[in-house]
Amino acid sequence: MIRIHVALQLLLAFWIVWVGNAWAFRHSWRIDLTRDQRYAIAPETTEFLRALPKRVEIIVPYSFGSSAADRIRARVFARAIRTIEEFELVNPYCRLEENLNIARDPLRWESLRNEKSLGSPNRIYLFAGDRRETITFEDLAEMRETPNGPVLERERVPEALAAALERVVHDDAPRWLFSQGHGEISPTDAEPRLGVASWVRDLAERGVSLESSDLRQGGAIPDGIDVLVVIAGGNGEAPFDPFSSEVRGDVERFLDRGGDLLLMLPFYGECGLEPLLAPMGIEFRNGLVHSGGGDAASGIGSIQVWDYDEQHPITKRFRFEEDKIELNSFRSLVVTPPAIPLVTTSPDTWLEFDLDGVHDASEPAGPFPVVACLEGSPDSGRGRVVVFGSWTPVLDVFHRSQSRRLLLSACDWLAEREGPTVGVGRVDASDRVNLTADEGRFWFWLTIFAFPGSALAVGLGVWGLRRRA
Amino acid sequence: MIGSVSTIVRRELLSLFVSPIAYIVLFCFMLVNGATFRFYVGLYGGEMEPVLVSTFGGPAFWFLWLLIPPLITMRTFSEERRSGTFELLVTSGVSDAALVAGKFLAAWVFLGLLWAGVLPLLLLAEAYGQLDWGVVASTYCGLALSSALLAAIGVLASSLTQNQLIAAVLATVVNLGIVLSNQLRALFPPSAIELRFFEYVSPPYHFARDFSQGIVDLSTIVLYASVTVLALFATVKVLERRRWA
Repeated sequence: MIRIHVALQLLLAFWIVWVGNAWAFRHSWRIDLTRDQRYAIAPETTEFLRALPKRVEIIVPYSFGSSAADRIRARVFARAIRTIEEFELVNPYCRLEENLNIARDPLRWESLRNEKSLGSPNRIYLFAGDRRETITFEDLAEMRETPNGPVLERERVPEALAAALERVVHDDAPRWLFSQGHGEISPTDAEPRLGVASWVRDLAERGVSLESSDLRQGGAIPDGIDVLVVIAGGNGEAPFDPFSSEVRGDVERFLDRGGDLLLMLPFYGECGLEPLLAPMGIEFRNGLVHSGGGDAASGIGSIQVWDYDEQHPITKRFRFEEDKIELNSFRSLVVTPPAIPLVTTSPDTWLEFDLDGVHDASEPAGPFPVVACLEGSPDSGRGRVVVFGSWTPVLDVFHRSQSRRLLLSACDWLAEREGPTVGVGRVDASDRVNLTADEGRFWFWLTIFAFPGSALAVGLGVWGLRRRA
Repeated sequence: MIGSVSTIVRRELLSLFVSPIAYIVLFCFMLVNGATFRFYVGLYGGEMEPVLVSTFGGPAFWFLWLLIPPLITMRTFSEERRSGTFELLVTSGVSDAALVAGKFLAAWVFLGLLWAGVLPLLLLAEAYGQLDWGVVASTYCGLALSSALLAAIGVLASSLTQNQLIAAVLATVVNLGIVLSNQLRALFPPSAIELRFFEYVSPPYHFARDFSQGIVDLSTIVLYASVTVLALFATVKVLERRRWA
């Protein structure tokens, strides 16, 4: 009888434990104790996640080496994986499908790559139906070189993930038209020096539908086009052939009916859109902006950005003086209201006319605006305009790091897909311990001998005292 | 009840600390942790975030986590029974629950002191850099919860047999089962409920996902606390066996 009674008590206790845990399993309440609240999800992101319209599967294939930079990348990706898991707790529709260490399972990587048409590893791939989105390390964080090696400067993992999620769940595919026929760079150009494959891939992964059309043929820009892209690069042999007044008229009508324009200027000469843009407050100057301190050998037109518009959605995610975007072969813009200068070069830049890399007296000194935009006006019905002082940011050789972020930020703004703002991110408070050789030795003796030895010494003391007693 | 419990805790801890055994265990514990900590500092170039994750989640950590609690708890009841002091103890007016609670708390406090032995290493790191003490706090929260669970399992195992070795082996096997449940996760597809179950009960998963990342989850607290109480309740019932005859 007693045994049955005890068995029942144990069963009841087990049942209570089971019910309590079943409740806890379904009611996750988490406290983030990290110094910078790294895994705490912002209320607007929580709201967005709860309202996620469709299932998003996320795959993170990674393979990092043992270098200091790779260790930092691995750390950021580990944080990203953790953050995705936090997102998943808010809404299981945001699912980390695969978190794959390629070094451990190369066969799985091969099969996954074929099955999902994945590109490089060390990226985060998001899939929502037939839409996909990719996040790179540069989207998640910034690294900085120091004399002691690279350090994680800033991270914006939750924001970048939320922004990518928002982009990938959008159903509408904006249509972008690449103008052709005047020596513009083609989106399908595979020529290595003039290749734009990286940018085009980024756009495709943002769900942009890409088309191209010779604007000289037939004139009108098709209905339904959201953004007109003009990469006035010339074809490498012949300079850019400026737009005729007819084509300009087409572009103006396109803008008037709410279309957006991304214009990237040729190195020199006219592009044919000057009469259209001048009344909007954007004009171009001849000559290429060149940085002080450089020389002809460093490449004419190699400049670092100095200042940003900190309010504008395109540039508010960049930091004054710190995000040193490397730009190449940019023309200076003259920007007056209603246009807004977005990116400005440093005061020690000048306009190179003779391309000798020397600041001659006749060459005007900076700062110069090199990227500008124009907000579409609801009254006029006009769309948005972004003008880059050069077409070089689209090239594979320059489409990286901060200049890539800037261009994609402009593209997101043109596509009206700023999403949850990807701010500048948090400064990553370094927890690195830098030890000199002497300090390293000191640590060795302290951690392996002094600390454990002190415990042993106390024990021996107790033993000695007991023996004496 | 509280008076009896505190008396037993004092007695247990005193018996541990007047013998050199506690200090030898502490020495070994600090030596292993010191060596692994120094190794990881070198391996990760002084980046403390991965150093903390590895120190409280690497092979050495799990080795200590698995083996030390059974070694501490194996003698709690087995030794009393073997030496005949158990009958003396239960006839002194102390209830079974107080006896179990006292033995458990003593083992838990001792485990806590062992893990506190890692703190000098963290203070050393703080002196040279900036440690994220939030992560340290969550890690120690995990250690406190899991140590309570392991101490309770060890006490239960010790109550089941007079042989200390068998008690230690039994507790180690149970602990090993708990740790290896993490490996079973690999058998299930991502959406399987079994996977969620093994994630829920797996301490390595809790440490990797939550504690060593600076996160404390209510569900994990409920799990460890409830299973600890269940094990202690079972221990009390095991001690009551003597009255059944």
